[in-house]
Amino acid sequence: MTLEVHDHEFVALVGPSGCGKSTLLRLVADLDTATTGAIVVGGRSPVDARHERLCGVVFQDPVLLPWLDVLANVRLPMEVAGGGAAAPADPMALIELVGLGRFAHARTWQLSGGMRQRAAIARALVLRPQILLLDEPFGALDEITRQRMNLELLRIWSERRTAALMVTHSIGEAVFLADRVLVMSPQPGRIVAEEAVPLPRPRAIETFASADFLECVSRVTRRLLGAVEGTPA
Amino acid sequence: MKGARGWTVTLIVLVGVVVLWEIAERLVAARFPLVPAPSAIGGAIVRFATPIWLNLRLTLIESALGLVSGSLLGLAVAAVFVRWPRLERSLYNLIVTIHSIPLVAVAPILLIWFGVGITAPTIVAGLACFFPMAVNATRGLRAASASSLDLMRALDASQIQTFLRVRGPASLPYVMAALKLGAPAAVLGATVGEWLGTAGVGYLLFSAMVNFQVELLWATMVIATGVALAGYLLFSVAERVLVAWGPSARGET
Repeated sequence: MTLEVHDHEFVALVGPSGCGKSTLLRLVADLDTATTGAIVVGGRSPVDARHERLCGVVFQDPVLLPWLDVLANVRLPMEVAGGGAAAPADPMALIELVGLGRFAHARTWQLSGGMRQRAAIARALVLRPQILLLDEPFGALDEITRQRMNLELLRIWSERRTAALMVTHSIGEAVFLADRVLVMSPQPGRIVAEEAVPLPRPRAIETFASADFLECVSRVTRRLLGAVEGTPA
Repeated sequence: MKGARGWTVTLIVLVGVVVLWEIAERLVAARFPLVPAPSAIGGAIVRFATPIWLNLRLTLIESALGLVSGSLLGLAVAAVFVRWPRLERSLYNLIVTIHSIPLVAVAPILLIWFGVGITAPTIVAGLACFFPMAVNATRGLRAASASSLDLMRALDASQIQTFLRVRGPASLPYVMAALKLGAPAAVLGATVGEWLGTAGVGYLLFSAMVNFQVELLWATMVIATGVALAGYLLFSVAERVLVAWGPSARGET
């Protein structure tokens, strides 16, 4: 299968559980190794891209280290990179950007789920990655927090202007965030459809109510249902 | 806090037992001369302060040396097990077997090998805390979550960085738990190792027994208990400071 993510583009990948969308993301991040096929990240192989820290990864679990405070967690990629980081962002400015300014020295277990994920996003951005890889980042959050986090993510992404590849189950979330939505089918995992999202930016809470949004959601939904046709739910 | 309340209850129960014991003693003292009253034990502690202290000092040194060496050895074994899981499968039973040898049986053997002195009790003390550390640290070094290891890989961290920043800190609650178990165990081990020696708390207990100095026997026992408990408390406090993020500091255990 083939997929491309351009600079400054937000691409969402939707599909049923088990279609391999998370695996795809893990391959791009070089957390798993592909047996066949070619992945190119910023003109490099995933291994080289990882060595050069071109990707920022946000997992479903925020994976903050509890023995570090929020600031130290956000600084972690810089610490690990040492002198290898070209021009890291100001971690404090990032913490402000994700709205955790008052919690820079908070203990991570004192934060709510949404706040933890904000910190994880700040951490993913601190080395100024070319592409942000998001694996169901808000999957564990309640619906209201999830909506708020989507708005936040758009705001952060539009300020940072990185490319983004996000995996999600939620069609509404995918359409709301992305420039393009790719639909994956299960067994074998394949990209069976691609829908451009013609919604103007900046998008806001009103976008959810617009006719274009609903129309786009229903198109993706039809594609997705077509993709899973014949497999038992 | 839950911990503090637990200790308050313990203290109240302890004081209650001591008071009842004292009362009972005064009522029926003559019939049971083998059980001295708490006041008599307290008196003995004061009276025998010098010999108790001189012997205790030696036991403390042996316990500390044993705790350090036994724990370091346990840590080393755990590190080897985690690095080469195959070795764990083949050697774990050996470790359990070593742990199953009664310390009172080891002590005379070591005494024959090393003669009277500090060596044999130190080794017994080390053996006593080796096992808890080996088992706990093996679990601890595997305690880092798969997702945190993924994170370190995504950050292109080296093995050493991953160890220092994730695996090490994640193992700390387990290591501290082993030290809490190990500190009293080391005191016990050193005492057992001194049993047939010529100095130390173990020797003092033995000589008090054969010389029928019942009050000295009890006094030494109380002191030895206090020292073992102090060791436990020392590492409890250290745990709260070092593992402020851990479950016990957050009142989850």
